Amino acid sequence: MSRFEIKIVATLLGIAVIPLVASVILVGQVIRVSNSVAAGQTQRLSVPLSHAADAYRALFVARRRVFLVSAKLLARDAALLSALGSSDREGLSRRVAELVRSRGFAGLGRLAIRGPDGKVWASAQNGKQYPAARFRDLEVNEPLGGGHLDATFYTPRAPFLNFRALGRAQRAANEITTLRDELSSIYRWVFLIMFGAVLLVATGVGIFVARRTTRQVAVLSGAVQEVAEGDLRTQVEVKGRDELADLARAFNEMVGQLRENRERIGYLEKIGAWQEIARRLAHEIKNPLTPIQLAMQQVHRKYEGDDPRFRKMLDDAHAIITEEVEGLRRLVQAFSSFARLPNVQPEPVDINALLEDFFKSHVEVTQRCKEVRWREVEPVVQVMVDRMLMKHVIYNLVENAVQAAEDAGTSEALEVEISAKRDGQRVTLQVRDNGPGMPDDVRKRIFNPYYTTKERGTGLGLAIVKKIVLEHGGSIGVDSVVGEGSTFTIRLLAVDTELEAATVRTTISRLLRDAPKAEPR
Amino acid sequence: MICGLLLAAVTPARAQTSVVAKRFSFEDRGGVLTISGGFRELFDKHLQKRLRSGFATTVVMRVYLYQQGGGKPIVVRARTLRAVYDLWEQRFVVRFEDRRGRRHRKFLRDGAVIDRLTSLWRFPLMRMAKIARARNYFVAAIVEVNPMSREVLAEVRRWLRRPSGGHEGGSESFFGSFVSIFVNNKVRRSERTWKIRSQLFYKP
Repeated sequence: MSRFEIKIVATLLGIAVIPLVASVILVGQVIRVSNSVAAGQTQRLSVPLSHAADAYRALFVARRRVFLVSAKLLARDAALLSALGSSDREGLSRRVAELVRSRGFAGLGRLAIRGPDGKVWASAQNGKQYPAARFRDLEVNEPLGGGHLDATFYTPRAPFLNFRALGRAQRAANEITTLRDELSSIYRWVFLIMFGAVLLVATGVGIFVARRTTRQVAVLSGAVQEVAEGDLRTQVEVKGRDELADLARAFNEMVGQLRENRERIGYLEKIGAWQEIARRLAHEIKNPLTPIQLAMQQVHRKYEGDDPRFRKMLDDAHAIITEEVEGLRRLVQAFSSFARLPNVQPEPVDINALLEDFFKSHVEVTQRCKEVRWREVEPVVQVMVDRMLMKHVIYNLVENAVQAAEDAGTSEALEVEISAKRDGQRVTLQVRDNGPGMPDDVRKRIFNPYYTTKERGTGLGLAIVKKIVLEHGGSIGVDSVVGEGSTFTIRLLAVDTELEAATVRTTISRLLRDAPKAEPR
Repeated sequence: MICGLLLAAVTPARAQTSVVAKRFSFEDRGGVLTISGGFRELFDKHLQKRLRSGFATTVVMRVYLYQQGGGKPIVVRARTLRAVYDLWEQRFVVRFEDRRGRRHRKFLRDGAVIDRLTSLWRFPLMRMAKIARARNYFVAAIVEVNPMSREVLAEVRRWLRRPSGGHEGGSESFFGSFVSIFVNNKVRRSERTWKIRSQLFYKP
């Protein structure tokens, strides 16, 4: 992992961990406070609950004791003892009934006296109903004289049910207290798990983001290295819409401009060299032409012999030399024109006015084919060009189309269309024809100096065109389909304001200054 | 380091329940393997004292029969005992609940009740026919005293899901549901939990 990646991951971890640690501390504090409050509350509740349970227990014990004592008192009842002792069963029954009905023995529901024989001699109930659902009973047996006393006491069941409910409540309270203590621990565990998950996610996201960023930076770095080594074909893939994507886009544009400038400079250097050769050739060839022609004319004129064969040979030689000298003169003229191309003097020119001017001054070429037409550009677009040189460019392109059609014998059907349109900061000028077109190998070499496929061509016209266009800071290309025609596309700098015009003028000046010097005409 | 500190902060103080080794006797009674034995010493004084409180003491025994080296228990048997001292009648009522159904018995002495709560007497495990010969077996038992009631656990889970008492849903109930998953696994489920393991035995 690179240091840049480590920094990004560490930053993301820091962003994730700091609030989490603060939360852990805060949550811990909240839990402690909450537990303290809850513990106090539980303490306040559990003590009364415990006391209530003790009170119920005391109640049960006391009531039971009361019943036991009551039974003992009943067993000492003098009337009962007397009746039992005298075996007075009627008296015994009467007394038992009195005792059961009397209010002196609370809860006494049934009383029975068994004689020494173990049989019931007398028994009575107080007449009330004691359903088991609502009452609990306590049967007490006490010795009575020679017999026994069986007393059944009843007490409401409600306190027992309440005691049981109290037990359940106490148990639930204890369980909840236990759970509460353990829930604190569970919450901390859950928090730790979430903390771990956040750390993992933050690390993962950090690594992902860092890798993505550094990968993009690494790609750009590699591309810069390639450009530094001179490979101007390098392009980087533009992904996304962030600043890195903008950077990649700007890099590609920059490399594209560098490549274009290098090609422009290379081409201009090549043309400059050819211009120098042309200038020397023109100079070297031009000088002996006139003496050769004069010498030939003199020989031809001075011969006064009557040898018809020699006369014929002399006439032929004179005609050939005169023709060739004329051809050489034209070539020298072309070389000379090529070698002495004027410097670009750019000015803002309305593209419509430029084309209109071209049609006025080059009627001759437009008449050598079926039609040369142009489309007016709307709205008005100004380009920064040397009016004369740019007309020369358009003329050369139209002338080239016409000559190609004438060589192919299709000039009568040739239609040439000149159009222009605004394309951002540039103006695209197209010269399209329906001539014979050209194969791909010709198209690739068409702008090379001295390359021509025409019988009368010098191979300089399109080279001059390209040189002029490049010196305007523009570009030129050609598309062609054999049998269908060719389209030359020129891109020039558009100017809308004076400031832009000044900027473009500066650009062109710099371009001309950097380009190899050509001897001006 | 932070993780370590947090881990230290949240490590529960509750000690792990250790396994107690006990000797039990195993019998073939009418073609059924039974286990007998006790662990009375685990029933501490606090529990003994509470027996006469009048409140119920519940003991849940889960008995697992394992073959030595085997991963899963061959059979699981459970018994629940609930002892209540009736303050009115002044005697203990013990309710037994197992495969044979529910039955009650009354006792006067604490010792008798503790014996019942902490022992297995000819407790049936499985048919002898299903016990392989010359193989080692052992019994493991988990005994819980006063286990957490299901109602309380359910109520706590409900509180976790709805901390504000409102309807379910939202982030707070999501967090609560997440926490409630741990309630089952991490919360102490009873007042006392004993893990007991018998000696190895085999069918001759």
